[in-house]
Amino acid sequence: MRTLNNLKLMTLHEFRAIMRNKIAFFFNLAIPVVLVVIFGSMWGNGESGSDVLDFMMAGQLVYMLLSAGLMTVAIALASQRQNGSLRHLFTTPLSMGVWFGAQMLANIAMATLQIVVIFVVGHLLFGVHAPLNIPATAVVLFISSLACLSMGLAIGALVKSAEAAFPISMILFFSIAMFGNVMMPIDGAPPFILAVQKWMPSYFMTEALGKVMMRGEGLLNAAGEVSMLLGLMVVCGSVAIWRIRKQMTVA
Amino acid sequence: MAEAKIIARNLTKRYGTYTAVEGLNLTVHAGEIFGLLGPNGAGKTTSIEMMEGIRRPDAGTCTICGFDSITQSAGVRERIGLTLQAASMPETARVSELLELYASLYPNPARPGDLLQQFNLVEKARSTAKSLSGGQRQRLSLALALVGRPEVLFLDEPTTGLDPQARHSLWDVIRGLKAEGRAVIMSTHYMEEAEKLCDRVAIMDHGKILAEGTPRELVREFGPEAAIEIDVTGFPVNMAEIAQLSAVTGVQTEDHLLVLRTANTAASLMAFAGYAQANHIPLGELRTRSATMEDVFMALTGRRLRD
Ligand SMILES: Nc1ncnc2c1ncn2[C@@H]1O[C@H](COP(=O)(O)OP(=O)(O)OP(=O)(O)O)[C@@H](O)[C@H]1O
Ligand SMILES: [Mg+2]
Repeated sequence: MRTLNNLKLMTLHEFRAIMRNKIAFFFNLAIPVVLVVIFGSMWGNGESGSDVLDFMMAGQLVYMLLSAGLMTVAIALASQRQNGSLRHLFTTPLSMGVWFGAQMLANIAMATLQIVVIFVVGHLLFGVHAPLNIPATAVVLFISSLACLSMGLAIGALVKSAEAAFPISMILFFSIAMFGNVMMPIDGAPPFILAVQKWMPSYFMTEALGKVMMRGEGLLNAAGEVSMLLGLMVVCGSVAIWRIRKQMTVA
Repeated sequence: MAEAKIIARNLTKRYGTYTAVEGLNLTVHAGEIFGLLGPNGAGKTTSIEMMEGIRRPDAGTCTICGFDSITQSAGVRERIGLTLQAASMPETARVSELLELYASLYPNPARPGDLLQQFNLVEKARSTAKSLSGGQRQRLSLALALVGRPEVLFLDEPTTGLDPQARHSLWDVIRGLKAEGRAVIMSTHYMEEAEKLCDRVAIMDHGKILAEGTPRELVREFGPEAAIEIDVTGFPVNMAEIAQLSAVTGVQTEDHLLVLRTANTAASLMAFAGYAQANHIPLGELRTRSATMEDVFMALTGRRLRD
């Protein structure tokens, strides 16, 4: 009972922190919406157009999740470490499980908001179509969001300072987005870049979304990508937890 | 004797070849305010954080309410409340949200509304932490430390940066904690605070406790003499001659002040008056005082600890 209440308040706390972060709000919601409007106005969608926007949705979604998970979380965690607020929080009976759970729930809440906003805007303005396999798409999106979160937590827990978190997460965010086919297709790129691409988390996300969202395939067809994302989540999440545990008792 | 709540034995912390804290022993009982007094870098924060279990000692142990700080940290964390020396709050959270969040972490928390009232933060309940003034922040961090109704409180320089009025009102809060039977350990570099607020004081310097006791005992033991202070700006004085004056046990200059330690104030005063007259030294600024913690600190470290 106490743990549940604690989880609820901790999640609320984290979610509010994300929503009150104006810069993050700009990157996480405003930019993607503006991009959809720009692309939509350029190419249109639906009966007259060539469903370009439908194709771009996957990229937009991955961009949003990366921005909210990787970048925002990394910077926020690094600054909580730096100003001692995380350390203080862990001097209470707060458990690592509740803390991590709250991160996941808050991130999923943010992702849900992002996904709904982008689809509603896309649909109302340009007639973007709903995903063909909605449940499978939701699963892929949530797992992607958690994978991004875990990367963000790992970066936030590993960087030296809050100042370093910004450029580092920014660079990682853009490289992952670029090389993973999120911003634009890079099919014509040199072979070594294509080889790199195949290992980008964002590539697994866009590939999986392509399957379930665009082509309406079942989740099983995306099992390869989804397990890679789950693996990433476990690895990065463990690194983050291990580091934070260590930092809470300064050697 | 009340129950011992904090028992630190031989706590030691090294950074490379530098020893920040060496062989720290102390015991704090229920209903007691214990002060760690020392200059910057003395090792107060390091000591406190080792006791709290958030800094790992290289040697020694600490038990809090019978739980080992490091190996039984879950038991410890339920029973302690603490303020860290550096800013340590989520800046975008509101005051009432923080109190509620922290309250949810403890088995038997205080009511956030009561704490708002007690710490005079009702009007700030909807303000974000970052918008609070220094004094309001200190009050909020103390409120957060208290929300779990801790048996033991660790306060690292809780009154630093506060104006005298705010400091005195925080003293009242801390005295209230003592009256409720909690054990309080706090660090400070304010002499007055150590003297007036703390039941027992340990004077720390260079990582070691130099002396420990009630302020009264310390003064009696280490600062037994009274002192006479004379402003001698612009007048050359012969220290050796002054040291020979009746009942004088020591002479120093501090800034522009000449300080005579004396075993007999009246005798030394008379003798100095004679010396002053013979040497044409005006006795404009002259005062006598009995020994204080400041003198104790001076006697122990050879330095002054300025507020
Ligand atoms: N992480 C660290 N690495 C290296 N040295 C450290 C570290 N933490 C503390 N020290 C050193 O240990 C000594 C004691 O530091 P501590 O913070 O305990 O002092 P303090 O008495 O709390 O001082 P202040 O009144 O300034 O808060 C200082 O010389 C400090 O430089
Ligand atoms: Mg300190």
